[in-house]
Amino acid sequence: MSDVPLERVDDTTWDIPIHGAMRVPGRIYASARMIESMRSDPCLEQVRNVATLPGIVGHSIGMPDIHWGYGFPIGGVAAFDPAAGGVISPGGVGFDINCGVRLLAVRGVKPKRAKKHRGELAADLIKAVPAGAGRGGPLKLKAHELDQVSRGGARWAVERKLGREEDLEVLEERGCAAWAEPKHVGADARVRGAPQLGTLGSGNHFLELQTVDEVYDAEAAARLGVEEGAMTVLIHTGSRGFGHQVCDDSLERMLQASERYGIELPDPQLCAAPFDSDEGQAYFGAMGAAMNYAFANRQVITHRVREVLRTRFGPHAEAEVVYDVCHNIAKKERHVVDGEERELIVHRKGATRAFGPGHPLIPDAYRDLGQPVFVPGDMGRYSFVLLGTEGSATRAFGSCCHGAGRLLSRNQARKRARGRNIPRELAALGISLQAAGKRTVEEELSDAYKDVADVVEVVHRAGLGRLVARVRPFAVVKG
Amino acid sequence: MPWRLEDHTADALLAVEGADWPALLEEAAAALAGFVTGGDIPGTTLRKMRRVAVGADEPSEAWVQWWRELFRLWSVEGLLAVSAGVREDSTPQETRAVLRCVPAEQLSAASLTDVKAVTRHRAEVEAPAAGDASWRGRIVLDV
Repeated sequence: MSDVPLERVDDTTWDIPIHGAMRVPGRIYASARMIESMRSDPCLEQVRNVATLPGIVGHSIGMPDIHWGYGFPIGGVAAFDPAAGGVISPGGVGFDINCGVRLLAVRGVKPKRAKKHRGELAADLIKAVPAGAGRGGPLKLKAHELDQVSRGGARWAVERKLGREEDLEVLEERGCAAWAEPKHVGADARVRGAPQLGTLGSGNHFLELQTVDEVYDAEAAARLGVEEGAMTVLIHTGSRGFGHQVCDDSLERMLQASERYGIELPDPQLCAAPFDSDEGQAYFGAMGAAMNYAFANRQVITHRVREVLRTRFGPHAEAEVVYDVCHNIAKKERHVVDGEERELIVHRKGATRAFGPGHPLIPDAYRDLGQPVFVPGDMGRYSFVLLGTEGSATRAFGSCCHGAGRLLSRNQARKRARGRNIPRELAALGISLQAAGKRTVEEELSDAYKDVADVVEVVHRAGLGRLVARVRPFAVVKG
Repeated sequence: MPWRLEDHTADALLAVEGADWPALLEEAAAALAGFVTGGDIPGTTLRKMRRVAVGADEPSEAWVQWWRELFRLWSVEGLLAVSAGVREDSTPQETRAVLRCVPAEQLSAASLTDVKAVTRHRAEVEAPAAGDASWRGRIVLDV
């Protein structure tokens, strides 16, 4: 059990006072019940460790879905000021660079009819979007094409008719990290990435067909295309082996860099380099390349989903991109700290950008509303659509949570699944499941996750985001 | 049991034991193969051989290097080391081994578990203490 001291600030906010080498306090957004559960896992120590890194400003932040990660906790947000020696850290982004979610709003298909065909749809989708361990897809990229993907992101796919120009308007960063530098991506990452574009992967990645079953803000829901009863598609995946290897290669280089720059590390997986150093810039460029790979990956999958819908329901079936958000990323952003606007390197690891209304980086279509945020739950329950708020800017560098967070380890989940028929249980709930492997199904069962409703409730109460709608799956594809 | 899966909130923590340093590494190869395939390894296929060498001042660093070699073979070359022959005189400072590998295409895709990376998170190795005959190592795989 963690004995990290916490001071209650209000109903949903807890501070970790400065202790030892911490440069700033920690801040956790959670209910009292969540705090008790967090104490069973070393994530609070990790929030404290992050607070020791050079150039950190404000607070080292933990979201309500925080849990144990490598170096940085998953569900952590931290911002560093390069002008004050601030660092960039691969551990603050994670292995699955730009793992993220994209929501599509389906038009021209009656949800009732789609639900009737949910079994066939799930089967069609797993054929169209390869899923599972190491699975490659029909796209085999040559070296120069991989460079183009790494530079162009989602645009690369749109230029090859795997998407539409208007899709790009509603993606975080318009689907392209302009700072990407493929020259910093190593040979192994290229080998791993070349066959995997347009594939889902495994673990917690998924593709779901859903319907909107509850709306909390009818006007905002209508603007986003998620009115009550509407059909949606949620795609959760990232940069596949390409990004995993970029992170892995960078960690090895950053370990040496930390030593060279005299950065004290309470945990080697916090290894970092000053953002402006050669090592910091090389990682930023390689991470941007992986970020673009992930944007392109979700774009290709979007195209495949559209093909499946049209094949089954005819040419009028359409899936419009609502938005696409990154979960694992470090970005240059401007934020106000101590009354002064500064350029910071904001790390979000298992956290989502959630800019409030009026922010210039929100697409025109949503600027007055706030940035759309999607918070996936588990395959048997529901996920949520939120909007970013002004509060997220002042309280969490414009960030909010990213998911439910695991309750059980994979080992415990498999034990819990023993003797049960998970697909049949889901079928009883009206959900058709297609999965590449039995083990993933067991490890990803609903009981393994916290109830995402509790997480978004805290986010809503803490003013980091506001609830718009809830979606429930009726067809699920897992790796 | 020479290796087992221990609880970790989000990922896979593998605990491995071996009578000595070479045996620990041989069990580590079996652990990765067992974890990735769920034990579903074809018995009669032709193995491909790979020679590897690792070494570091600290045993924990040599342990991580060994795992990284095993994982690189799998994730980049598509070869899963299903058994390892580690030279008997190997030490953490100088380890040489021959790996017997199965190509990915000969494995059942449905039984494979995806591994994103071998991490240094909680990576540790313990030499036998007095009265304890085993070397023990732990590694966390990001899955």
